[in-house]
Amino acid sequence: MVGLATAFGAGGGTSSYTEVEQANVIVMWGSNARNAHPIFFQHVLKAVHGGAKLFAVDPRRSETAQWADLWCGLHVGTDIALANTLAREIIHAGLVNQSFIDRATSGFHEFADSVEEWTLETGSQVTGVPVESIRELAHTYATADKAQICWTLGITEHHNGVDNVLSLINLALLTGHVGRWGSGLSPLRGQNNVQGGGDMGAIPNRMTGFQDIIDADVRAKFDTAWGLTGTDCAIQETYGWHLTQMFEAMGRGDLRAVYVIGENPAQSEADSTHAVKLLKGLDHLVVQDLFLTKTAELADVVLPGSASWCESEGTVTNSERRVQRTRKALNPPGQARDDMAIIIDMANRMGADWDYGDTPMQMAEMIWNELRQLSPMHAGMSYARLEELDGIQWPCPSDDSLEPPFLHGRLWSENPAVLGRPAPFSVVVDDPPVESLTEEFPFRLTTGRRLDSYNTGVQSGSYSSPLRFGETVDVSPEDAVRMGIADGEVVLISSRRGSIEAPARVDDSLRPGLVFMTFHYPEQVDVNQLTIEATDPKSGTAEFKAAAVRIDRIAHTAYPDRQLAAGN
Amino acid sequence: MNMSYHTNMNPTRSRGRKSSSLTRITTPLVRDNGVLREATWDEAMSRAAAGFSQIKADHGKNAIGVFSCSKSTNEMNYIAQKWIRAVIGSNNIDSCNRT
Repeated sequence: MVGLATAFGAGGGTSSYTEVEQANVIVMWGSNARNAHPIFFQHVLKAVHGGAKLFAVDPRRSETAQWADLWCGLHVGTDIALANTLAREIIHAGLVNQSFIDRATSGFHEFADSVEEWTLETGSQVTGVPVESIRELAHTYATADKAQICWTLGITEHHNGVDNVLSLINLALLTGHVGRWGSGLSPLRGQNNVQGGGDMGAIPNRMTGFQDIIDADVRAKFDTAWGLTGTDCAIQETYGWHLTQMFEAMGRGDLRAVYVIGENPAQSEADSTHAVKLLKGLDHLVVQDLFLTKTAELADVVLPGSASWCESEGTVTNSERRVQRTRKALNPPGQARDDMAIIIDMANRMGADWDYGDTPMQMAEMIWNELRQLSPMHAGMSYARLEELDGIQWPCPSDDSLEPPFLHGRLWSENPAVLGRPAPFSVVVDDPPVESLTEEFPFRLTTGRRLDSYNTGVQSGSYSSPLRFGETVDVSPEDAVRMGIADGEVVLISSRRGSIEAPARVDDSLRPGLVFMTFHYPEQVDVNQLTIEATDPKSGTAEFKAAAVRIDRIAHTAYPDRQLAAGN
Repeated sequence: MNMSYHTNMNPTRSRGRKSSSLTRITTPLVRDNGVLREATWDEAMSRAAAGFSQIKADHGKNAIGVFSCSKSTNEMNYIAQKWIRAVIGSNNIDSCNRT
């Protein structure tokens, strides 16, 4: 989001799902959507079945790559090198959209100079992708009528994730594949409301509606609406701490109390041993959740909340910026309460005088109508209209008309007043993962999701699945043979931060030197003991995708209860 | 609490592997002498609110932060960020995305 906001001023994917279905070329970059975003992938498949060319850029020959016309199997952390090489090839082959560049962008010449060193040969050498593949991707993308680049955590969960995104945006700016029907840039959000959480201002630098805190007019608007003008609580001009900075502040003793709502940082953070120690050191920890998570076990107070998808009223916003109603079908169990009601109660016990009605429906609609007054991009979305139209994409400033389904159409306007600020190219420098491979730690560990599990397993772990086989460390057939590791053999995986045991699984989608694990089973195998806390200074996202590890054999016996096949 | 509505699992024929077996919390909990015990809503909310007020009084508004939820609704996220900004007075809120 930071990358898209830097380039275009709005932190959201630029296209709609319908446009993805109608694109001629789709580049899935750092995204195994077939597994991790199976619903979105149905839209991709519609395009593929309609004749679209699908490219997969991923270190693994993932399930998504197996659907692709071309797989570009780059080395972990060489995304910028590949993007810059593609950019140079597009420029040198004369495939740029010069009129778009001249009218709607800035910084082209500086950018072109910066990628000049990235010849096909250099790019191939650094990324491991064959010259012909890079050329084919560059030419096919640049000459397509409608082309989409879609990405997910394979791009963002690096120490330089924002630069990775900027390097993809450069490609769209070079070719004019943004701001018009069918072409765009689509980050796939990892949870049902990642987009909405940011849009609502549940981030340290933006108020509701993605309005920047450093803007005095924005602060004044919220101060007035919330009655904070002149009080101790008037909105501070300085950004708050993002997640990683909050952990750092805990370490310094500056952050003393935390209210955790529906999250499990004790298990989801990189270097989780350290995270638990910091959470334990807090003076006051309140956890509001459905389950007694590892984080809740550390809390001073645990508040049982409600499930957003079936026990709550409200809205959520998906990866195409579509706001949709969520309806309450069930009461939360036992004494568990509505999440909004708990927070409102907490506020009023601390001296606020908030009245949002009594029922979850009243609360949700009163809150929604309050924020529609404050957030222009949500202003035209009454609940009635959301019902009537089956969801509405932002921006929706007007009560009686709709905006186009894609963002940044202004960039195609001949009228400079409409066009506004040109979208800047970004000079991005290749910057390999923080942990380089050494003789002692010779394997690159990358992490991700599987189809039938969800993140730390809080929500999915209690369900059984015939597809699930527990945590494994996936290794290439070549490495398995070289090290004499049998499929199913328990091995020791160590990084500079810790060691864990897991059964090996030989996976021919991996190349030598690359190993893969999930973080779905922290109770059994806590992978985030291995991952590195190095974070992106611009977004605070940790480098979950690139740790250096070693693998040692510990026994010759196979895991007795391991099940790879369905059923047992 | 019967949680059967939450699972599509056939209890008589469990297949595949479960990684954990968390059940819903249905009662507020508070920590006493190092141990979490059941409490009334009033007691739990009083403890929670008093704790935040105390920290704010002793260490200032920026000593408090919120981890908000990317699975929850827009309305919940709006009211959570309003709480940290309008009640506490801090911008320390972020959404974590990996739980």
